[in-house]
Amino acid sequence: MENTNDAKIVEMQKAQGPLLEVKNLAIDFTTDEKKAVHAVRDASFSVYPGQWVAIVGESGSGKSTSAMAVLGLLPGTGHVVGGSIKLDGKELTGLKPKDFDKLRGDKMGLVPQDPMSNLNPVYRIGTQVKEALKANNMDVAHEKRSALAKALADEDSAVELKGNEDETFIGSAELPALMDAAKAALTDAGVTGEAAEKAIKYFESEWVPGSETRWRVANDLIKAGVNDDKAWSIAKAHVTGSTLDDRIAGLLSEAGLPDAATRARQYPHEFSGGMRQRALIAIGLACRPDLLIADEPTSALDVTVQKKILDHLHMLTDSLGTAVLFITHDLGLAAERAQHIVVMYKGQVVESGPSLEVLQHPQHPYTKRLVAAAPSLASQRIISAHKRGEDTDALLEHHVVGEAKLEKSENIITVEHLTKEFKLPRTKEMFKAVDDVSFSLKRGSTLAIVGESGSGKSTVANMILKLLEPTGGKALYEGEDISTFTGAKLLEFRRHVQPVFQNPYGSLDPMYSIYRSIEEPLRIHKIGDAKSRTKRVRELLDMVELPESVMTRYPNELSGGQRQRIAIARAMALSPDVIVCDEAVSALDVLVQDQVLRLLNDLQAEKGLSYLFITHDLAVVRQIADEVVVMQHGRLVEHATTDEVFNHPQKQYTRDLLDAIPGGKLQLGLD
Amino acid sequence: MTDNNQNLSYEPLPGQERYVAPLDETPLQDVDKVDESAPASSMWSDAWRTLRKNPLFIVSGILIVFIIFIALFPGVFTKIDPKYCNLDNSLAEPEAGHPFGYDFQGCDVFARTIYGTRTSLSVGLLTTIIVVVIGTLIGAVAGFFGGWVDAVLSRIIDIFYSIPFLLGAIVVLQMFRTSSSIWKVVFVLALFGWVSTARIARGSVMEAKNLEFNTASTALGSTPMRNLFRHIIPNALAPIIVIGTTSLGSFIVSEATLSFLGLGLPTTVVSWGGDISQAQVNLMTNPMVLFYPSVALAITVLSFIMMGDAVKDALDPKSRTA
Repeated sequence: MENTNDAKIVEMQKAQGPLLEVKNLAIDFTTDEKKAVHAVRDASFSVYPGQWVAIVGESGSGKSTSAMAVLGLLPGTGHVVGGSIKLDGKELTGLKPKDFDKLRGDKMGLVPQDPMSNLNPVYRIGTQVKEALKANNMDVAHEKRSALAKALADEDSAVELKGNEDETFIGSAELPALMDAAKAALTDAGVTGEAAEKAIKYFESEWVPGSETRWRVANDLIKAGVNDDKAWSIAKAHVTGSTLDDRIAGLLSEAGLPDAATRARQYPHEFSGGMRQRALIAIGLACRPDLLIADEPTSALDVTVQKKILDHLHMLTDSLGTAVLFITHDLGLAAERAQHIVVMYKGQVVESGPSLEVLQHPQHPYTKRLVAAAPSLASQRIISAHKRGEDTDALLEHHVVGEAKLEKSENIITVEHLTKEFKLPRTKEMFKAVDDVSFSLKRGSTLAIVGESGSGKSTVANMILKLLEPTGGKALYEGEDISTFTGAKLLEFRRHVQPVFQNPYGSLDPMYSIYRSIEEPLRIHKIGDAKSRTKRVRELLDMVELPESVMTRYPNELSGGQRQRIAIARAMALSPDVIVCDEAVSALDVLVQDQVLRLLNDLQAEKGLSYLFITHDLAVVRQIADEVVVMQHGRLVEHATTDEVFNHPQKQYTRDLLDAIPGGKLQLGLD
Repeated sequence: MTDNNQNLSYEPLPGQERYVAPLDETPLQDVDKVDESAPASSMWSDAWRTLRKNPLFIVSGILIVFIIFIALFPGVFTKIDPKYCNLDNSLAEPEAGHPFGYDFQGCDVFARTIYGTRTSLSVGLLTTIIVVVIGTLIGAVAGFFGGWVDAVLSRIIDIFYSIPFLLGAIVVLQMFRTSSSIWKVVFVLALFGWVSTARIARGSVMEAKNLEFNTASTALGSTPMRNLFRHIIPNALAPIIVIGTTSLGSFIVSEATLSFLGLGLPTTVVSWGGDISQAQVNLMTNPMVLFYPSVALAITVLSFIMMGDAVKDALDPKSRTA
């Protein structure tokens, strides 16, 4: 059944031809020195109506630039210098900004990357949705049509109203009357008891003012057992058009915002990241574009929120027949969501094709690398291997500490009933960021603390690093309470416990040369003289596989991954026992992330380090950790060995997190 | 696996066939390779590279070097003593050796303009140095410690802001009426000038304080005070340098204003402000006597303001207008 339907869709897409056709696209950026930088070269891809196509690549690969060229939104110094972009057969290159204005909105929509900065903080959410409707004259058309529909319904004529299928929505004012009429009609039609209750419940959930159209109301009634004529006359009499406010609320509720009418009157700062992204989806889809460009729409969000939003977006675009050009850095996510993927590398398309085929049989060396490095896919491989009863150790980059050995080894860091409360601003209430958390890190092993934003995982790390004082409970290093350390004792403790922070752009002082940055801990702890320090810095750079020549450079000249390796070198300078990695690889591209994780693993094997690894990414945990602590809302949800957590998760929340790993349900080729 | 095979069997739509780029067209690079060929750059060397190409900087730089040279070695430009005045020459026309003519007192206008440079420049430079040092320290302390320290210091800054500059200067300068040192003017200008630097310093220290590398340093074992002087202040310095360069010009103007009003330097000190003040009496009959010191003042001030603009462009590329 499904297959014939799929085949039918493919036939339709074939017949209609591609919605977006990009051929040999070339984009240059002009630099300050008037030199041209080739951001995109010879890129070709196409999107068919109703299809999800993903462009995958790391930062700087030209994936967003290509998408922005389609929208005519290249930043000031960027220009399309060759190739063609056709939307519905119409050439877009060389269009004037004015012509693009006409296309954006009702032909093409955008869901931008950063939900925090893409909503105007001084306008209500509803106003910003209205702006999108107004910019495309949807508001005028909408009210006019509503008025016409109302007039015709009053005349009670048999005139067949055009536009039944699109713009006539239920108004909030007429919903009660419609419900009454529907109930009466059900009784008339002889539908009673449980069936009637079920139908009414269905109506109540589906008939959202400003979102549900007349023909769908009629359709719902017919399905519930009301005869055709009656159903249509009810729909015509009671679905006469919504106000603009209803429509806005309808759009927001379609995007998955509960209680949309109230939400529309709120400001962006009252929304969480996920809610803002939903509002941006509502705006992107407000004018029913044929093509929606989603530029890393969920990269800034937690995995479980990401899954919910993308599930919803998928359902919504399917029901509207919208094609989606999905930009992402996550290969697993791309393959899971899109039928067709395009892999970009350094401004060029290196490989494209049906998602699963590309994933299972990557042919270009770059794609092969990408597939090998993607943590979500790696974890998938481990699961598959497990199922086949194979030894998984070979697949892990991590030298796993055997369970028996874990049992025996002593604890280097122990956390007992750790609690941290923060005072909420402007109230007397206290907020428990960390609530009675206990666990211990065994010497020479890796413990991962996993949780979403706001779970308190970083607060735990900061208390262990003595950057924050606990409100209750204790954190012990080698059996001694960390909070009692002062003076020389504290300095000694700092020597043994070192952090690597999340943001490789922020954790190095931009005014310090790389040499000074790595030397700083030696200087603070007054170790060695100038000559021996220089020697040590050389050793450390060698350890993180960076050339000596970077010593004289400054952080701004290095990439994120290189800076993170410098931060690791700095942490290693004092030969510590414990390294606390607070989201140390989250900001990095997949390949670089893989490289840094390997480095951390090698160092651990070599020096017997213990790692406390704070992350939101369960997929990474699989590769690196021996034990996992799952946190939610400041509480410890689950604590077990990595295999236990992945194979037999005990708590629903852990299962949700595992479910949300992108690409988790893919049937991967095992080559 | 059956599901899998079905997916594979689906035939791609035209234009979406499997495509693999030929490898020779897209050579793979090592992951995250360090580009060793790029020229080394830090914030300061980048700023210098930008500055070097900025015509505003070149013009103002040449002018400032020239002005400083005049201030250091006025004797190179004129052999005439600016304080030697002969009433016989009162308001005499320019003549050989005296290109700008004479003023009301019969002093050589050229010599006085040349020698006035030193006064104006030293007042400007000294005031700027004092203001930047004091302003940065107070602002940094307020921004770094926050809380009640910040509250107290910020109110003190507000109080100084609320005093009209001229009124305050008149009151303070009355106390030093007998002194003929330029220090009294420097003192007054610094007394009322440090507040804007302090405000800028406070803001930029507060910003730098929250950057992650401070936390990183603390975790390495650094103390808060060490962080302040080694990390925070160096990172907060750029806007302070910009305001320092720009306000150097305005201090020179203020000195001229005070001297013009007879509050600043006594007539025994050769200064542009004093000369402009004396020349205004004969503005209608001998405008040129007023003209020369005014132009000298304008060029000097303009050079420093232009320099400040250029430095600002270089240190903060975002603020550039065109």
